[in-house]
Amino acid sequence: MKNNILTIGILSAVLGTACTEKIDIDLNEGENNRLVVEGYISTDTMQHSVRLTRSTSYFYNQPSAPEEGAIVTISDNEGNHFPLTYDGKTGNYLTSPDVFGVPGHTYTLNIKLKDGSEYEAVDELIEPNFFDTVYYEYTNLQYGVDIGAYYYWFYTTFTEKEFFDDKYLIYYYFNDSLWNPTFDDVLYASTASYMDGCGHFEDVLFSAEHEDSIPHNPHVRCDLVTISTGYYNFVTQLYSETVTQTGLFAGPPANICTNIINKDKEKPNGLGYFSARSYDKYEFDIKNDMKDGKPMKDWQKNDLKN
Amino acid sequence: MKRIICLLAIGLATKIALPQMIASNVTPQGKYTISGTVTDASTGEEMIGATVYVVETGAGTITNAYGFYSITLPEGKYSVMANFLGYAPQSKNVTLDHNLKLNFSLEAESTQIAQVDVTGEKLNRNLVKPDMGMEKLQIATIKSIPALFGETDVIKSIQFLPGVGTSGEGFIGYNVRGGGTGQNMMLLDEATVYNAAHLFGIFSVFNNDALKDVKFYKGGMPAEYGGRLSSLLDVRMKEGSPQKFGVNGGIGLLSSRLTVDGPIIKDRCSFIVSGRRSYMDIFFPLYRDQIPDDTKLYFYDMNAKVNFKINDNNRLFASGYFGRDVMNYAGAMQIDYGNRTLTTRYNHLFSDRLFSNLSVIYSHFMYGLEESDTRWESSIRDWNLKGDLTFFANPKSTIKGGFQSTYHKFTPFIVKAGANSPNYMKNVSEFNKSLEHAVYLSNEAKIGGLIDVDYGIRLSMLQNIGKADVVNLDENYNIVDTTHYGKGVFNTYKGIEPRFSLNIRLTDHNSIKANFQQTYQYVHLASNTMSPLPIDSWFASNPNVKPERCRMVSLGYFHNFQQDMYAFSAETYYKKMYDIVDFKDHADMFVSDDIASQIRTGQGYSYGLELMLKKQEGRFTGWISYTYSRTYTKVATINNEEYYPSNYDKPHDLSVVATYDVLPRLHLSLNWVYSTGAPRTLPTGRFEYNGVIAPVYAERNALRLPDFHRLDLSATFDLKTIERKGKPWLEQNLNLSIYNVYNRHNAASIMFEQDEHDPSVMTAEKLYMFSIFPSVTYNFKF
Repeated sequence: MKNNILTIGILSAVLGTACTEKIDIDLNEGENNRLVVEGYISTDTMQHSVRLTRSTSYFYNQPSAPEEGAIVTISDNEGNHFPLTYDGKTGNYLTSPDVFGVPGHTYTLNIKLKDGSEYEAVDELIEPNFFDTVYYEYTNLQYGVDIGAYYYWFYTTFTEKEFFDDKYLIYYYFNDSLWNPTFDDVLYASTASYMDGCGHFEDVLFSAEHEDSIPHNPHVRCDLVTISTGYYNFVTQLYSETVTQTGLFAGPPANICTNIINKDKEKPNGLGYFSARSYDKYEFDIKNDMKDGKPMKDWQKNDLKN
Repeated sequence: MKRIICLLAIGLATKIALPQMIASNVTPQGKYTISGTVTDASTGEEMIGATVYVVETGAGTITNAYGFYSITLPEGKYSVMANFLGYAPQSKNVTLDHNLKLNFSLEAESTQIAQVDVTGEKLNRNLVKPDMGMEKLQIATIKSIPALFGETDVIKSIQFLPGVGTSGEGFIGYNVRGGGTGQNMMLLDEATVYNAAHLFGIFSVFNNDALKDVKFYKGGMPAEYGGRLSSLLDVRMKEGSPQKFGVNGGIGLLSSRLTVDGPIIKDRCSFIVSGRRSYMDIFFPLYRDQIPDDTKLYFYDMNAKVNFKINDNNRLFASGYFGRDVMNYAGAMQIDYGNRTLTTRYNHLFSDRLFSNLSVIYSHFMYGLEESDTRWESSIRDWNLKGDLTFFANPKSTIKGGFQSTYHKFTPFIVKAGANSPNYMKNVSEFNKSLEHAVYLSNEAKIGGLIDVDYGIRLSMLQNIGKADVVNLDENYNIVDTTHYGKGVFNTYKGIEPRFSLNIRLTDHNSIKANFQQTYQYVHLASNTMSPLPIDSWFASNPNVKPERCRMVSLGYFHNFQQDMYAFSAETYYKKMYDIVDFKDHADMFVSDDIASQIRTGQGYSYGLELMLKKQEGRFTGWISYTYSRTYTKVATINNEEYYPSNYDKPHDLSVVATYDVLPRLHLSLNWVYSTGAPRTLPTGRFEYNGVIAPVYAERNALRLPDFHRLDLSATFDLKTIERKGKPWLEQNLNLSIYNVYNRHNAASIMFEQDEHDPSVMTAEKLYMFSIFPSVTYNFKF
């Protein structure tokens, strides 16, 4: 989907006539002051965080204001409760470091604000899926064209569970640095039955923009994050509204879904999403990204089943 | 009740028409029939819409789509006149004491006269015919209008008519009286054209050089036509001269074209072949730093037609179109798409008064997306059988009847994934098959000397055919399960489509018209983008999606003055649309097997006032049109299920089209367009998530793009005609045009960018499609 739109966009540009220029526009911005939630619980044992901020008018052009003084807890359907405490600065509320989620449990985020309003968000922690194979290529060619810089091209495969409808995020770490921090770079997808039960992702990392900082022969960590359908919808909508929702060839803009529900049904819900995620992680070292001073150009295979 | 009305209408029409048709060889006592064809003397081609009338009685008719006419009169001596704008009228005196064949062959007048002409026929036709909402465009008109890249085009031309809006600058998509782009039927020699765009719409599939006649209905659609809610573009190809060979063509900046026509058997069998090829990509090496090698961007198409006159009563036609677009980036990503049509027709005259046509039509549209080693294809194929009878009962009544049956076969997708990568997968979706049928009966009648009516009824039907798997949805549009249907019809929809048009001629220079029509649409465009894409696909109504339905009433006043040199019209309409197809927020249109859960249906209404003033003759010709219109839509789950302005709601729309013959060999043309900016959904608030600024919207389409306006100019120089043996051998002209003369950057959409250095700062940018663009085209004709 993403690539199809990209294809069309590129070919439109090839037509060579379209341009952009800055414009002053009155957006009829009204009062925007809704609660925004960004946070998750995962199968990793760690200090989980939930960030609370406020929405603003569109051209506010300042960092979002943190929501302070809230009472925040995460609980599951097995009766476990995890209170979160405010870090005192950026709107982040933190669990203790020993918290982890259990696949199959349903997690509920409860928020009580200073003004007495209460919000709730529910998500299910899906059973994880596991990598089968990770292929990678180090090359300076993109669609056969020399782009003047080397980058990694990753191709991962895994076998899904029974129904082929799980959703994922994939994160890549190089020498312990996350290289795809925003959803522009994170590959998310649902596999479909026509893929014959075998999911695959094809990821391009270290594009030309990152040329200066390409680490050769890095230590790589791939995280396969299994997420709920609700969060998948949120991420895809966030992506389409901020990355691809820009031209003639997109559908009508629409608000991004949320699971932040205001307990007072007469009042608007919050924005953002509280998600539950299960992880599979695979680490390996790349030792031969160059051959005789040239990029290897051929697929290298790490077969995890063997 | 509907069924009773329908049965009564059919019964009444049958009672009147059938006995007469059966006895059509027998002319009423003391009356005889004059029939024949009207042709262009220079090419021998039949002329569609030529007027034939009897001077003594004023009785008259126009030639049909095959150039045929028929008039029945009492015995006597008459003077019969044939005329067509741009041609010298021809009169023949006859003594009518038996049925008579009378053919006319009209000589063209000075070509400049017909440079800008919308009616193409008798200048007061707008006052005497009830076909309100119909425009007939001359090919000369289309060629005279300045165009983007110098590429004149049928569809770009109709976008200048009142009540017709464009889906985006430079695009082929158009909106008619508040209807969506998927609600317009486009026919090329009766074959449905599902996607008329070449190169994203810079060109349409209609090659002017191969076209003979263009009729556009935005209302008052005759009963013989149906299948779309809003409009009909009926394009007919030339037959080719049965008398002499001819070659014409043009060389432009982006494309060239060549047409050859001539006799195969003189005066009996002729052909025409016309082809085009674009070559925008030959300039790519000049931009090697921006455009990689192996990038391709081109289209080609070909029209061909053969007709064979077996004898005076029987004639065969076969015509076809084949076109393909290819856009390939660096040999690695590709979009390709194209239409194919094939039409075979058999005309038979049962008698001088009963004309018949039987057509077998094939239509195919496909697109493919290819990236790396994955290819995705989708297609639609139609096989269509169509029969029509026209019975010229008497000078005051022409009765038409017929049937149409179409087999639609949709292939939602074929995926071939990873042919060269570690995993190769291939999947073909189930075909979706359906039958669409229609029968119709209509009568075009004169009541007294001042009233004309055209009334009829069309009965339409869609049948879904198994084998098929149809998903079942819950109230939240989630797929619950799937029902498998075996072979045979498993779902049927029916529609009754009454059509009524009335013309009352108040004086020689004034008339009022009224029209009512109901239309059904059983095949829907699966697209929710702001502008049509070449990869848009279609689907048929099914148990989850009802047919779309539209009722429209319109009323008009028509006034000609200064001996029909000027024509003024004012038309107003109200249109209500039911079960219109839209798509949920964030619909994923590429997941075709899940399309049922993406669809939302609703209703809409539109109304408008269309004013037009035309100057029809003289050195200065053209028109000014102004439209005030509003269009609103209400769709389930969207905008809190409240009405909102449709994407193409542009209240004010003004067009000026003019041509001035400065010198006998120099013609200047101008068009200027203005419209209110299109509605858009733009953010009013924002929130931050994962480092990204995300929008918060209020109501759908609550804000608008800036107003749109643009001026285009062109000049055509008729170059010296080269003669051989004292006769013209090569006629040629040079066309220079400037698109967007004052270089206005009209916004096609508004985008928002996050500042690279300060991620909390957002700025707005407009996307504009075209700046000023000059072009030159050389045209020639042997």
